[in-house]
Amino acid sequence: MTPSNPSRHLLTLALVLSLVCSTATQPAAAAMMSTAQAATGTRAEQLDRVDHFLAQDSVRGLLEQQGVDPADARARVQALSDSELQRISNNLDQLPAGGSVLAVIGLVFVVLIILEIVGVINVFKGI
Amino acid sequence: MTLVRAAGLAAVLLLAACGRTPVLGPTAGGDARIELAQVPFYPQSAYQCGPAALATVLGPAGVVVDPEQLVSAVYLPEKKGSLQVELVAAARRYGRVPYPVNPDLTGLLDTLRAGHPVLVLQNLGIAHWPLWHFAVVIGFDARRDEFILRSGTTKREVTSARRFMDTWKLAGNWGLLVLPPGELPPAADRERYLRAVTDMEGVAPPQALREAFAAALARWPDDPWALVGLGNAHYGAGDARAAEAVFRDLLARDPTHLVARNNLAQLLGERGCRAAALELLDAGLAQLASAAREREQLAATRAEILAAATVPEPGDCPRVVAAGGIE
Repeated sequence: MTPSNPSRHLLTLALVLSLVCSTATQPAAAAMMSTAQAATGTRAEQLDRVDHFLAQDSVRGLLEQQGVDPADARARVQALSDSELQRISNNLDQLPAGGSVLAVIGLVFVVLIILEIVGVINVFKGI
Repeated sequence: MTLVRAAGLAAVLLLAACGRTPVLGPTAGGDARIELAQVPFYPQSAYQCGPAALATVLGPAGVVVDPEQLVSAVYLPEKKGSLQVELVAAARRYGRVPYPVNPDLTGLLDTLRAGHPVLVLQNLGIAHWPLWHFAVVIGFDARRDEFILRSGTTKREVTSARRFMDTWKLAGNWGLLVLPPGELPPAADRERYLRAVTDMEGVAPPQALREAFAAALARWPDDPWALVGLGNAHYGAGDARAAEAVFRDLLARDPTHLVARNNLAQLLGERGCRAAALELLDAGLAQLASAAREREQLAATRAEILAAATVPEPGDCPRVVAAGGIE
Protein backbone atom coordinates (compact mmCIF):
# COMPACT_ATOMS: atom_id res chain seq x y z
CA MET A 1 0.00 0.00 0.00
CA THR A 2 2.51 2.62 1.10
CA PRO A 3 6.28 2.70 0.94
CA SER A 4 6.39 2.52 4.73
CA ASN A 5 5.02 -1.01 4.67
CA PRO A 6 8.30 -2.96 4.62
CA SER A 7 9.61 -1.07 7.62
CA ARG A 8 6.36 -1.66 9.42
CA HIS A 9 6.73 -5.37 8.75
CA LEU A 10 10.23 -5.23 10.11
CA LEU A 11 9.00 -3.43 13.17
CA THR A 12 6.29 -6.03 13.70
CA LEU A 13 8.79 -8.81 13.27
CA ALA A 14 11.15 -7.20 15.74
CA LEU A 15 8.30 -6.75 18.17
CA VAL A 16 7.16 -10.34 17.83
CA LEU A 17 10.71 -11.62 18.26
CA SER A 18 11.29 -9.47 21.30
CA LEU A 19 8.04 -10.81 22.74
CA VAL A 20 9.18 -14.36 22.02
CA CYS A 21 12.44 -13.66 23.78
CA SER A 22 10.79 -11.96 26.70
CA THR A 23 8.51 -14.95 27.31
CA ALA A 24 11.61 -17.05 27.80
CA THR A 25 12.05 -15.01 30.97
CA GLN A 26 9.62 -17.32 32.66
CA PRO A 27 10.14 -18.20 35.45
CA ALA A 28 12.51 -15.29 35.93
CA ALA A 29 15.85 -15.07 34.14
CA ALA A 30 16.19 -14.49 30.42
CA ALA A 31 17.56 -17.90 29.50
CA MET A 32 15.65 -20.16 31.89
CA MET A 33 13.20 -22.43 30.10
CA SER A 34 9.73 -22.72 31.61
CA THR A 35 8.12 -25.93 32.77
CA ALA A 36 5.53 -25.54 30.02
CA GLN A 37 8.39 -25.70 27.51
CA ALA A 38 9.52 -28.96 29.07
CA ALA A 39 6.02 -30.33 28.71
CA THR A 40 5.50 -29.55 25.03
CA GLY A 41 7.52 -29.70 21.84
CA THR A 42 9.87 -26.81 21.39
CA ARG A 43 8.67 -25.85 17.94
CA ALA A 44 5.00 -25.91 18.82
CA GLU A 45 5.84 -24.04 21.96
CA GLN A 46 7.61 -21.26 20.13
CA LEU A 47 4.74 -20.88 17.70
CA ASP A 48 2.33 -20.83 20.66
CA ARG A 49 4.38 -18.13 22.31
CA VAL A 50 3.71 -15.71 19.50
CA ASP A 51 0.02 -16.49 19.66
CA HIS A 52 0.19 -16.14 23.41
CA PHE A 53 0.87 -12.45 23.29
CA LEU A 54 -1.56 -11.73 20.50
CA ALA A 55 -4.19 -13.74 22.36
CA GLN A 56 -3.45 -11.92 25.61
CA ASP A 57 -4.12 -8.60 23.92
CA SER A 58 -7.31 -9.74 22.26
CA VAL A 59 -8.68 -11.38 25.41
CA ARG A 60 -7.87 -8.33 27.50
CA GLY A 61 -9.86 -6.27 25.03
CA LEU A 62 -12.76 -8.72 25.20
CA LEU A 63 -12.82 -8.59 28.99
CA GLU A 64 -12.84 -4.81 28.95
CA GLN A 65 -15.77 -4.88 26.53
CA GLN A 66 -17.56 -7.05 29.10
CA GLY A 67 -17.25 -4.26 31.65
CA VAL A 68 -14.09 -5.40 33.42
CA ASP A 69 -11.78 -2.73 34.79
CA PRO A 70 -8.63 -2.52 32.56
CA ALA A 71 -6.28 -3.11 35.51
CA ASP A 72 -8.27 -6.19 36.55
CA ALA A 73 -8.40 -7.41 32.94
CA ARG A 74 -4.60 -7.38 32.78
CA ALA A 75 -4.25 -9.50 35.91
CA ARG A 76 -7.00 -11.84 34.73
CA VAL A 77 -5.44 -12.64 31.36
CA GLN A 78 -2.08 -13.27 33.00
CA ALA A 79 -3.63 -16.05 35.06
CA LEU A 80 -4.90 -17.86 31.94
CA SER A 81 -2.96 -20.64 30.22
CA ASP A 82 -2.27 -20.50 26.49
CA SER A 83 -5.04 -22.94 25.63
CA GLU A 84 -7.50 -21.04 27.81
CA LEU A 85 -6.58 -17.77 26.11
CA GLN A 86 -7.11 -19.43 22.77
CA ARG A 87 -10.52 -20.72 23.80
CA ILE A 88 -11.72 -17.35 25.06
CA SER A 89 -10.38 -15.31 22.17
CA ASN A 90 -12.03 -17.63 19.67
CA ASN A 91 -15.51 -17.79 21.16
CA LEU A 92 -16.22 -15.72 24.24
CA ASP A 93 -19.80 -15.22 23.13
CA GLN A 94 -20.53 -18.93 22.99
CA LEU A 95 -18.98 -19.80 26.34
CA PRO A 96 -21.33 -20.51 29.22
CA ALA A 97 -21.23 -17.79 31.85
CA GLY A 98 -22.78 -19.06 35.05
CA GLY A 99 -24.98 -16.65 36.93
CA SER A 100 -27.43 -15.23 34.45
CA VAL A 101 -30.46 -17.02 35.86
CA LEU A 102 -32.19 -13.98 37.35
CA ALA A 103 -32.02 -11.94 34.15
CA VAL A 104 -34.26 -14.31 32.26
CA ILE A 105 -36.82 -14.84 34.96
CA GLY A 106 -38.33 -11.37 34.84
CA LEU A 107 -39.05 -11.71 31.13
CA VAL A 108 -40.82 -15.00 30.93
CA PHE A 109 -41.99 -15.72 34.42
CA VAL A 110 -45.18 -17.56 33.57
CA VAL A 111 -43.58 -19.89 31.04
CA LEU A 112 -40.87 -20.70 33.52
CA ILE A 113 -43.37 -21.47 36.27
CA ILE A 114 -45.11 -23.97 33.98
CA LEU A 115 -41.85 -25.58 32.88
CA GLU A 116 -40.75 -25.76 36.49
CA ILE A 117 -44.01 -27.42 37.53
CA VAL A 118 -43.84 -30.05 34.83
CA GLY A 119 -40.23 -30.75 35.76
CA VAL A 120 -38.50 -29.72 32.55
CA ILE A 121 -36.30 -27.09 34.21
CA ASN A 122 -34.95 -26.34 37.66
CA VAL A 123 -34.60 -22.58 37.62
CA PHE A 124 -36.13 -21.55 40.90
CA LYS A 125 -34.00 -23.80 43.01
CA GLY A 126 -30.88 -22.29 41.52
CA ILE A 127 -31.45 -18.61 42.21
CA MET B 1 -57.64 -25.84 28.87
CA THR B 2 -53.92 -25.13 28.78
CA LEU B 3 -53.62 -25.42 32.53
CA VAL B 4 -55.48 -28.69 32.53
CA ARG B 5 -53.12 -30.06 29.90
CA ALA B 6 -50.09 -28.82 31.81
CA ALA B 7 -51.38 -30.51 34.95
CA GLY B 8 -51.95 -33.70 33.03
CA LEU B 9 -48.47 -33.55 31.55
CA ALA B 10 -47.04 -32.91 35.01
CA ALA B 11 -48.82 -35.96 36.40
CA VAL B 12 -47.50 -38.16 33.61
CA LEU B 13 -43.94 -36.90 34.07
CA LEU B 14 -44.09 -37.33 37.83
CA LEU B 15 -45.34 -40.89 37.49
CA ALA B 16 -42.61 -41.61 34.98
CA ALA B 17 -40.02 -40.15 37.34
CA CYS B 18 -41.18 -42.41 40.19
CA GLY B 19 -40.71 -45.48 38.09
CA ARG B 20 -37.08 -44.80 37.21
CA THR B 21 -34.17 -46.70 38.67
CA PRO B 22 -32.06 -44.71 41.15
CA VAL B 23 -28.92 -42.92 39.97
CA LEU B 24 -27.01 -43.63 43.17
CA GLY B 25 -28.24 -46.65 45.13
CA PRO B 26 -26.20 -49.89 45.17
CA THR B 27 -24.14 -48.96 42.09
CA ALA B 28 -22.64 -46.02 44.00
CA GLY B 29 -20.53 -48.40 46.11
CA GLY B 30 -18.61 -47.27 49.21
CA ASP B 31 -20.21 -44.93 51.70
CA ALA B 32 -23.95 -44.60 51.26
CA ARG B 33 -24.02 -41.08 52.62
CA ILE B 34 -21.51 -38.23 52.67
CA GLU B 35 -22.07 -34.66 53.72
CA LEU B 36 -19.15 -32.25 54.05
CA ALA B 37 -21.02 -30.09 56.54
CA GLN B 38 -17.98 -27.97 57.40
CA VAL B 39 -17.82 -26.50 53.88
CA PRO B 40 -18.61 -22.79 54.28
CA PHE B 41 -21.67 -21.15 52.78
CA TYR B 42 -21.67 -17.83 50.98
CA PRO B 43 -25.11 -16.82 49.72
CA GLN B 44 -24.72 -15.31 46.26
CA SER B 45 -25.73 -11.78 45.42
CA ALA B 46 -27.51 -11.14 42.12
CA TYR B 47 -25.98 -13.14 39.26
CA GLN B 48 -22.81 -13.76 41.23
CA CYS B 49 -22.92 -17.51 41.72
CA GLY B 50 -19.37 -17.74 40.29
CA PRO B 51 -17.64 -15.74 43.04
CA ALA B 52 -19.80 -17.41 45.72
CA ALA B 53 -19.11 -20.96 44.50
CA LEU B 54 -15.39 -20.25 44.17
CA ALA B 55 -15.18 -18.85 47.71
CA THR B 56 -17.01 -21.97 48.90
CA VAL B 57 -14.36 -24.37 47.51
CA LEU B 58 -11.38 -22.11 48.35
CA GLY B 59 -12.35 -22.28 52.04
CA PRO B 60 -11.63 -26.00 52.55
CA ALA B 61 -8.42 -25.54 50.49
CA GLY B 62 -7.19 -23.10 53.14
CA VAL B 63 -8.11 -19.74 51.59
CA VAL B 64 -10.72 -17.75 53.47
CA VAL B 65 -11.98 -15.16 51.04
CA ASP B 66 -15.22 -13.26 50.71
CA PRO B 67 -17.03 -13.59 47.36
CA GLU B 68 -17.01 -9.79 47.08
CA GLN B 69 -13.21 -9.92 46.82
CA LEU B 70 -13.47 -12.41 43.96
CA VAL B 71 -15.85 -10.32 41.87
CA SER B 72 -13.03 -8.30 40.31
CA ALA B 73 -11.24 -11.55 39.42
CA VAL B 74 -14.01 -13.63 37.86
CA TYR B 75 -17.17 -11.61 37.21
CA LEU B 76 -18.16 -10.24 33.79
CA PRO B 77 -20.60 -7.36 34.35
CA GLU B 78 -21.97 -7.35 30.77
CA LYS B 79 -22.50 -11.09 30.75
CA LYS B 80 -23.88 -11.08 34.29
CA GLY B 81 -21.92 -14.22 34.96
CA SER B 82 -18.53 -15.89 35.26
CA LEU B 83 -16.56 -18.13 32.91
CA GLN B 84 -15.31 -21.55 33.93
CA VAL B 85 -11.74 -20.75 32.87
CA GLU B 86 -11.70 -17.64 34.99
CA LEU B 87 -12.69 -19.59 38.10
CA VAL B 88 -9.79 -21.93 37.30
CA ALA B 89 -7.43 -18.98 36.77
CA ALA B 90 -8.48 -17.28 40.01
CA ALA B 91 -7.73 -20.46 42.00
CA ARG B 92 -4.19 -20.32 40.56
CA ARG B 93 -3.72 -16.78 41.76
CA TYR B 94 -4.38 -18.00 45.31
CA GLY B 95 -1.75 -20.73 44.90
CA ARG B 96 -4.36 -23.49 44.80
CA VAL B 97 -4.35 -26.33 42.26
CA PRO B 98 -7.47 -26.35 40.06
CA TYR B 99 -7.94 -29.98 39.03
CA PRO B 100 -10.83 -31.00 36.76
CA VAL B 101 -12.56 -34.08 38.17
CA ASN B 102 -13.37 -37.05 35.94
CA PRO B 103 -16.51 -35.95 34.12
CA ASP B 104 -18.75 -38.73 35.37
CA LEU B 105 -20.64 -39.92 38.43
CA THR B 106 -17.72 -41.96 39.75
CA GLY B 107 -15.34 -39.00 39.49
CA LEU B 108 -17.79 -36.88 41.46
CA LEU B 109 -18.43 -39.48 44.18
CA ASP B 110 -14.74 -40.38 44.58
CA THR B 111 -13.84 -36.72 45.12
CA LEU B 112 -16.57 -36.28 47.73
CA ARG B 113 -15.46 -39.46 49.49
CA ALA B 114 -11.91 -38.10 49.63
CA GLY B 115 -13.37 -35.16 51.57
CA HIS B 116 -13.37 -32.50 48.86
CA PRO B 117 -16.38 -30.46 47.69
CA VAL B 118 -16.76 -30.13 43.92
CA LEU B 119 -17.52 -26.88 42.11
CA VAL B 120 -19.91 -27.75 39.28
CA LEU B 121 -21.46 -25.97 36.33
CA GLN B 122 -25.13 -26.75 35.81
CA ASN B 123 -27.55 -25.90 33.09
CA LEU B 124 -30.80 -25.35 34.97
CA GLY B 125 -32.68 -24.61 31.75
CA ILE B 126 -32.85 -26.75 28.66
CA ALA B 127 -30.30 -27.40 25.94
CA HIS B 128 -31.58 -24.69 23.59
CA TRP B 129 -32.37 -22.25 26.37
CA PRO B 130 -29.50 -22.58 28.80
CA LEU B 131 -29.51 -21.08 32.28
CA TRP B 132 -25.96 -21.50 33.50
CA HIS B 133 -25.33 -21.80 37.18
CA PHE B 134 -22.34 -22.58 39.39
CA ALA B 135 -22.89 -24.52 42.60
CA VAL B 136 -20.88 -26.69 44.95
CA VAL B 137 -21.70 -30.35 45.58
CA ILE B 138 -20.98 -31.14 49.23
CA GLY B 139 -22.52 -34.60 49.56
CA PHE B 140 -24.97 -37.27 48.55
CA ASP B 141 -27.36 -39.77 50.06
CA ALA B 142 -27.52 -43.01 48.08
CA ARG B 143 -30.55 -44.38 49.94
CA ARG B 144 -32.63 -41.31 49.21
CA ASP B 145 -30.97 -40.94 45.78
CA GLU B 146 -30.14 -37.29 46.40
CA PHE B 147 -27.26 -34.82 46.10
CA ILE B 148 -26.61 -32.05 48.60
CA LEU B 149 -25.36 -28.69 47.32
CA ARG B 150 -24.43 -25.19 48.40
CA SER B 151 -26.30 -23.30 45.72
CA GLY B 152 -27.31 -19.69 45.20
CA THR B 153 -28.95 -18.45 48.37
CA THR B 154 -29.71 -21.96 49.65
CA LYS B 155 -27.27 -23.25 52.22
CA ARG B 156 -28.34 -26.87 51.96
CA GLU B 157 -30.04 -27.63 48.69
CA VAL B 158 -31.19 -31.21 48.41
CA THR B 159 -31.93 -32.27 44.86
CA SER B 160 -32.84 -35.61 43.33
CA ALA B 161 -29.79 -37.34 41.93
CA ARG B 162 -31.43 -37.69 38.54
CA ARG B 163 -32.38 -34.04 38.33
CA PHE B 164 -28.86 -33.04 39.33
CA MET B 165 -27.22 -35.40 36.85
CA ASP B 166 -29.44 -34.02 34.06
CA THR B 167 -28.46 -30.42 34.82
CA TRP B 168 -24.80 -31.40 35.14
CA LYS B 169 -24.81 -33.35 31.89
CA LEU B 170 -26.33 -30.39 30.04
CA ALA B 171 -23.28 -28.41 31.22
CA GLY B 172 -20.78 -30.97 29.95
CA ASN B 173 -20.27 -32.71 33.32
CA TRP B 174 -17.77 -30.01 34.28
CA GLY B 175 -16.56 -30.27 37.85
CA LEU B 176 -13.57 -28.65 39.54
CA LEU B 177 -11.60 -29.75 42.58
CA VAL B 178 -9.54 -27.00 44.22
CA LEU B 179 -6.61 -28.47 46.13
CA PRO B 180 -4.16 -27.00 48.57
CA PRO B 181 -0.62 -27.35 47.15
CA GLY B 182 1.01 -30.53 48.36
CA GLU B 183 -2.16 -32.57 48.24
CA LEU B 184 -3.00 -34.89 45.35
CA PRO B 185 -6.50 -35.59 44.03
CA PRO B 186 -7.99 -39.06 44.55
CA ALA B 187 -6.96 -41.41 41.71
CA ALA B 188 -4.75 -38.61 40.38
CA ASP B 189 -4.15 -38.53 36.65
CA ARG B 190 -0.47 -37.69 36.18
CA GLU B 191 -0.72 -35.57 33.08
CA ARG B 192 -3.83 -33.69 34.18
CA TYR B 193 -2.29 -32.88 37.57
CA LEU B 194 1.06 -31.77 36.12
CA ARG B 195 -0.70 -29.65 33.51
CA ALA B 196 -2.77 -27.99 36.25
CA VAL B 197 0.34 -27.19 38.30
CA THR B 198 2.41 -26.11 35.29
CA ASP B 199 -0.30 -23.62 34.33
CA MET B 200 0.21 -22.05 37.79
CA GLU B 201 3.79 -21.08 36.91
CA GLY B 202 4.29 -17.34 36.94
CA VAL B 203 0.88 -16.86 38.58
CA ALA B 204 0.95 -18.69 41.91
CA PRO B 205 3.48 -18.00 44.68
CA PRO B 206 6.69 -20.07 44.06
CA GLN B 207 6.32 -21.78 47.43
CA ALA B 208 2.95 -23.22 46.33
CA LEU B 209 4.58 -24.53 43.15
CA ARG B 210 7.39 -26.14 45.13
CA GLU B 211 4.89 -27.99 47.30
CA ALA B 212 2.72 -29.03 44.38
CA PHE B 213 5.63 -30.41 42.30
CA ALA B 214 7.14 -32.08 45.36
CA ALA B 215 3.83 -33.87 45.91
CA ALA B 216 3.90 -35.01 42.28
CA LEU B 217 7.42 -36.41 42.75
CA ALA B 218 6.35 -38.27 45.89
CA ARG B 219 3.66 -39.96 43.81
CA TRP B 220 5.63 -40.32 40.52
CA PRO B 221 9.30 -40.48 41.57
CA ASP B 222 11.90 -39.06 39.16
CA ASP B 223 9.25 -37.82 36.74
CA PRO B 224 11.15 -35.48 34.37
CA TRP B 225 8.28 -33.02 33.91
CA ALA B 226 7.80 -32.70 37.66
CA LEU B 227 11.56 -32.33 38.19
CA VAL B 228 11.74 -29.41 35.76
CA GLY B 229 8.78 -27.87 37.57
CA LEU B 230 10.41 -28.30 40.96
CA GLY B 231 13.72 -26.86 39.72
CA ASN B 232 12.00 -23.81 38.26
CA ALA B 233 9.91 -23.39 41.41
CA HIS B 234 13.05 -23.42 43.58
CA TYR B 235 14.55 -20.84 41.28
CA GLY B 236 11.40 -18.71 41.39
CA ALA B 237 11.52 -18.88 45.19
CA GLY B 238 15.08 -17.55 45.12
CA ASP B 239 16.77 -20.84 46.01
CA ALA B 240 19.15 -21.19 43.06
CA ARG B 241 21.25 -23.86 44.77
CA ALA B 242 18.26 -26.16 45.28
CA ALA B 243 17.30 -25.55 41.65
CA GLU B 244 20.82 -26.43 40.51
CA ALA B 245 20.72 -29.71 42.44
CA VAL B 246 17.43 -30.68 40.78
CA PHE B 247 18.64 -29.93 37.24
CA ARG B 248 21.94 -31.74 37.88
CA ASP B 249 20.01 -34.77 39.05
CA LEU B 250 17.75 -34.67 35.99
CA LEU B 251 20.64 -34.22 33.57
CA ALA B 252 22.50 -37.12 35.17
CA ARG B 253 19.45 -39.30 34.54
CA ASP B 254 18.97 -38.08 30.99
CA PRO B 255 21.92 -36.35 29.28
CA THR B 256 19.66 -35.53 26.31
CA HIS B 257 17.26 -33.47 28.44
CA LEU B 258 17.55 -30.11 26.79
CA VAL B 259 15.66 -28.07 29.40
CA ALA B 260 17.71 -29.51 32.26
CA ARG B 261 20.91 -28.75 30.36
CA ASN B 262 19.89 -25.21 29.44
CA ASN B 263 18.62 -24.28 32.88
CA LEU B 264 21.60 -25.82 34.67
CA ALA B 265 23.96 -23.90 32.41
CA GLN B 266 22.05 -20.70 33.09
CA LEU B 267 22.23 -21.26 36.86
CA LEU B 268 25.95 -22.03 36.71
CA GLY B 269 26.53 -18.94 34.60
CA GLU B 270 24.62 -16.82 37.11
CA ARG B 271 26.91 -17.84 39.94
CA GLY B 272 30.08 -17.31 37.94
CA CYS B 273 30.86 -20.87 36.80
CA ARG B 274 31.24 -19.70 33.25
CA ALA B 275 33.55 -22.46 31.99
CA ALA B 276 31.29 -25.29 33.15
CA ALA B 277 28.21 -23.51 31.82
CA LEU B 278 29.73 -23.02 28.37
CA GLU B 279 30.99 -26.59 28.26
CA LEU B 280 27.51 -27.87 29.06
CA LEU B 281 25.98 -25.81 26.29
CA ASP B 282 28.63 -26.72 23.75
CA ALA B 283 28.16 -30.40 24.50
CA GLY B 284 24.43 -29.88 24.07
CA LEU B 285 24.87 -28.10 20.76
CA ALA B 286 27.10 -30.94 19.57
CA GLN B 287 24.27 -33.40 20.31
CA LEU B 288 21.79 -31.52 18.17
CA ALA B 289 21.41 -31.64 14.42
CA SER B 290 22.42 -28.43 12.70
CA ALA B 291 18.83 -27.52 11.81
CA ALA B 292 17.28 -28.32 15.19
CA ARG B 293 15.10 -25.54 16.57
CA GLU B 294 16.44 -26.22 20.05
CA ARG B 295 19.81 -24.84 19.00
CA GLU B 296 18.37 -21.33 19.19
CA GLN B 297 17.57 -21.64 22.86
CA LEU B 298 20.97 -23.07 23.80
CA ALA B 299 22.73 -20.50 21.64
CA ALA B 300 20.76 -17.68 23.28
CA THR B 301 21.72 -18.88 26.74
CA ARG B 302 25.33 -19.18 25.60
CA ALA B 303 25.32 -15.62 24.23
CA GLU B 304 23.87 -14.33 27.47
CA ILE B 305 26.55 -16.03 29.55
CA LEU B 306 29.26 -14.66 27.29
CA ALA B 307 27.78 -11.17 27.53
CA ALA B 308 27.75 -11.18 31.33
CA ALA B 309 30.63 -9.57 33.18
CA THR B 310 33.29 -12.07 34.18
CA VAL B 311 33.83 -12.69 37.85
CA PRO B 312 36.43 -14.91 39.58
CA GLU B 313 35.18 -18.50 39.40
CA PRO B 314 34.00 -19.80 42.76
CA GLY B 315 35.83 -22.87 44.07
CA ASP B 316 32.86 -25.22 43.96
CA CYS B 317 32.03 -25.09 40.25
CA PRO B 318 31.19 -28.55 38.91
CA ARG B 319 33.44 -30.20 36.36
CA VAL B 320 31.95 -31.27 33.03
CA VAL B 321 32.99 -34.76 31.96
CA ALA B 322 33.59 -36.06 28.46
CA ALA B 323 30.04 -37.07 27.51
CA GLY B 324 28.68 -33.68 28.46
CA GLY B 325 27.62 -34.92 31.89
CA ILE B 326 28.64 -33.27 35.12
CA GLU B 327 30.27 -34.23 38.36
